[in-house]
Amino acid sequence: MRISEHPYADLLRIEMMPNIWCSGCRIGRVKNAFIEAIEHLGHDHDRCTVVSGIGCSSRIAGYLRLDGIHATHGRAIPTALGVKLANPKLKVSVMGGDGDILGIGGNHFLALGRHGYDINVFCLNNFGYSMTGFQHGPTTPLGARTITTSAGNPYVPINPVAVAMAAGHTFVARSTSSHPYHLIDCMISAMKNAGPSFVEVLIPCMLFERRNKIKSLEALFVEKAKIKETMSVEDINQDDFTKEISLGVFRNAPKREKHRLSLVKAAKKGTGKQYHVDFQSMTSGIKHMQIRMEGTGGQGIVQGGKTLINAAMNMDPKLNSTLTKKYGPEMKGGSCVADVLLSSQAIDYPFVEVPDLLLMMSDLVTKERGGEVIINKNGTIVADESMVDFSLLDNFPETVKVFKMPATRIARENFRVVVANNVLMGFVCKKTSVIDKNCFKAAILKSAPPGTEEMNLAAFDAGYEFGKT
Amino acid sequence: MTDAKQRVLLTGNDAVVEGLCCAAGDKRRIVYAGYPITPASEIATRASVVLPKRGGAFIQMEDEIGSIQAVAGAGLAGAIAVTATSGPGFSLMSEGLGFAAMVESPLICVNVQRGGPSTGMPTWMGQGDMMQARWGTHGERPVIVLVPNSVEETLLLSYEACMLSQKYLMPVVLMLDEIIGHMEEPITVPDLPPIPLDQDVEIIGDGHRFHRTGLTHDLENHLPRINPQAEEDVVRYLLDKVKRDAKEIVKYETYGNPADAEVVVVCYGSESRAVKAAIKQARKKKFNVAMLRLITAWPFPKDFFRKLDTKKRVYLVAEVNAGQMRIEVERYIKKGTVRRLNLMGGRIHTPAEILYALKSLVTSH
Ligand code: SF4
Repeated sequence: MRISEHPYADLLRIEMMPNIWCSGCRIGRVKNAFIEAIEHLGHDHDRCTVVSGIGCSSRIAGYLRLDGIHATHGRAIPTALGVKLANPKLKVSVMGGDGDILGIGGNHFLALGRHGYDINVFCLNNFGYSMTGFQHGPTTPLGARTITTSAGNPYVPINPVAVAMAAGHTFVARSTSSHPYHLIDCMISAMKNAGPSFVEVLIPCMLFERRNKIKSLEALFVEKAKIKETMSVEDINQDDFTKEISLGVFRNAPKREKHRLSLVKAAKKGTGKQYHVDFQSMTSGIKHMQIRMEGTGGQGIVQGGKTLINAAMNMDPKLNSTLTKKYGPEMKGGSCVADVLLSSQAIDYPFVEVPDLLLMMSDLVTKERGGEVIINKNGTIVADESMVDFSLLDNFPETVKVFKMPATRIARENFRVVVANNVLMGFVCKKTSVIDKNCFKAAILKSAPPGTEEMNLAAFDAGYEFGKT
Repeated sequence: MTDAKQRVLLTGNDAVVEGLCCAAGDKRRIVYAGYPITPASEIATRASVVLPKRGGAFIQMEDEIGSIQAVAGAGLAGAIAVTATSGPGFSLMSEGLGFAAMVESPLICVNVQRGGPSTGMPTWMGQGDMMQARWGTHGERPVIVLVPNSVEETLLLSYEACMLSQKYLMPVVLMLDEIIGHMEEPITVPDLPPIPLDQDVEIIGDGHRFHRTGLTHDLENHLPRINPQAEEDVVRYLLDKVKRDAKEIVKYETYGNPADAEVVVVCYGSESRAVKAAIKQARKKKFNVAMLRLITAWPFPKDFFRKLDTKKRVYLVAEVNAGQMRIEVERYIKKGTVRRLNLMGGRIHTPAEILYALKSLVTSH
């Protein structure tokens, strides 16, 4: 028979033959089992994708005439996930070795179980890094000789099945290349499962045999393996394949996938009460205005900046504006600045150089700068009474307006401290009358977390009322 | 752009997602895969809300290596594939970017630059990844890097990145910095035509049953072919994509008249906003100065510099790193002098600082 007449000719890249595998290697058998499984299931060849990483077994992807990606070392799973996300109708499988999937790609293997996408991972375990001459890998048995453990492997191997179970793969099985029919059955069941499936396939490597003076791993697999219908904890926990190998399905529980999909559906439905404030837009006449709000992290400085710029936008949609923020990596306690520029012109430099309006929720920023308060000679300062050292605010010309007000105290006594920024906003709105009240309120609503709308608006009103005094 | 359309306040990070939505239109699927990192996380936040609603997919991956690989896979399967990260994550993505270039996967990688090296300053800006974006992969690959300086331009370049990646079948990097990523500006979302999937491009699942490998391969069938001639063919083919069309891809903005100016300030990203403010002030003082802002850092507008290099003048390269793009300017300036103005990160220069530097460089005042 000519090779082109082979019954699986449509699924093989004949131009790639002969393959690169050693004689005696059984990776080819796993490839054939995969073909058998696809044919058994009747999958459309044009809709099957095989993704692999780097290594002897990863070469399978290149010999299959299916859509295939021969990705970077260890990254077959995320690459396959990308394919699946782009086109969920595709049947996506990953082929790779123990080093590729459990070593360098271990994190992706764990995450796939958790993410729960329908990807079949076939891990050909030959107990080491074969393509590079057989170095020890994550599954190399204790004491085994490899070219990087010539005195015997001192590291305890991981148990692929146990890891897959723990990671949450919804189908987990083990087979060997010496049990082709069993292997085909496992592969079929794996592909039927709608969640992440994992099949560990033990394969012999000639290099491992030679270095460890094992006559035939294949024969060893046949001798030690027991195909089981039900699995016990002991079967999962087997850690020495030279003593016993349980073959079969350890988990076939697609329930998690259903649960995941139901959560996705539930998340699509929104809930919650809608708030609304009407406001009138107009031309503000603002030429150029620099507003700086400063304080410490956790005081809602960035939020305050957002409220200011949104309020300005509500008032005059044609105005140009920028909001920039500076803060440290810590959520609370570090210095924090929000700069809002409003201008009838294009805004180049997006930071405040000399503020026209300076809102000080605390004096940390000013103190860090050495105590100097920069303000336009016709500017306005609003400072939180309990948070700012007033001696900083003494030496200004008469033209600078300085207001001290208890935003934090009002917030603490009536609401919660977190809304102090909106108390301050209310006060600023009343005292400066640059931006209309309702424009402010609509802006507050826009960024208030759901459920806090009323409190934030009430805080604003409290500040506004205080501004009347 | 229609005037009737309302202006919306967006951050640069938001605008990245909006630009992609323009590119996708109703038909294309956007796949976002990323890992949280300051200051790029807001891109993921918005993508996680927006994409599922419009038939796209969002996934938070286990790390940045997984992220770049996932988008490389998604790109090969016909999606508009995007990931976003910052310095440390961008370093982890280096290999994946090379892989995507090699297998010709169109993807968009956003790097919101922060202060580095290592963990550096997560919440403060930097521009230290410019050369990394050019060279940060083993071997050689084609590179397109776009550097917006405003929220509006971020949206436009995010769209453009998508177009270029689809046209040249390669990863395109969109380099923001923390200031641009986090800053809010009102913009009008423009009516941009959706970018259709090129019918001539083979994708996974369309029946072609292609094979893509990171190995050196035959350009016809993409199957491994490993010898010096194959390497010659593949690498030249990949590099030529951008080299051939560099003139069309290159984008820059000038302010003032560089051909006539005594000092040309070269800049990009958020730093350019301080430069422009300073140049405006300087020109009021009758300083003969101009600005050149890179919009594509790579390919670099070398023809522009070659043409400009007709007389003695100063090129002041203002950037927030130790002088990365200055190296590139120096390559093409023979008659003029290249000077630098650097900050190591955390902030951009103030207009006053740039003006001060200009004062010492111009003779005509
Ligand atoms: S090195 Fe081992 S795994 Fe690789 S082809 Fe040879 S026998 Fe197979």
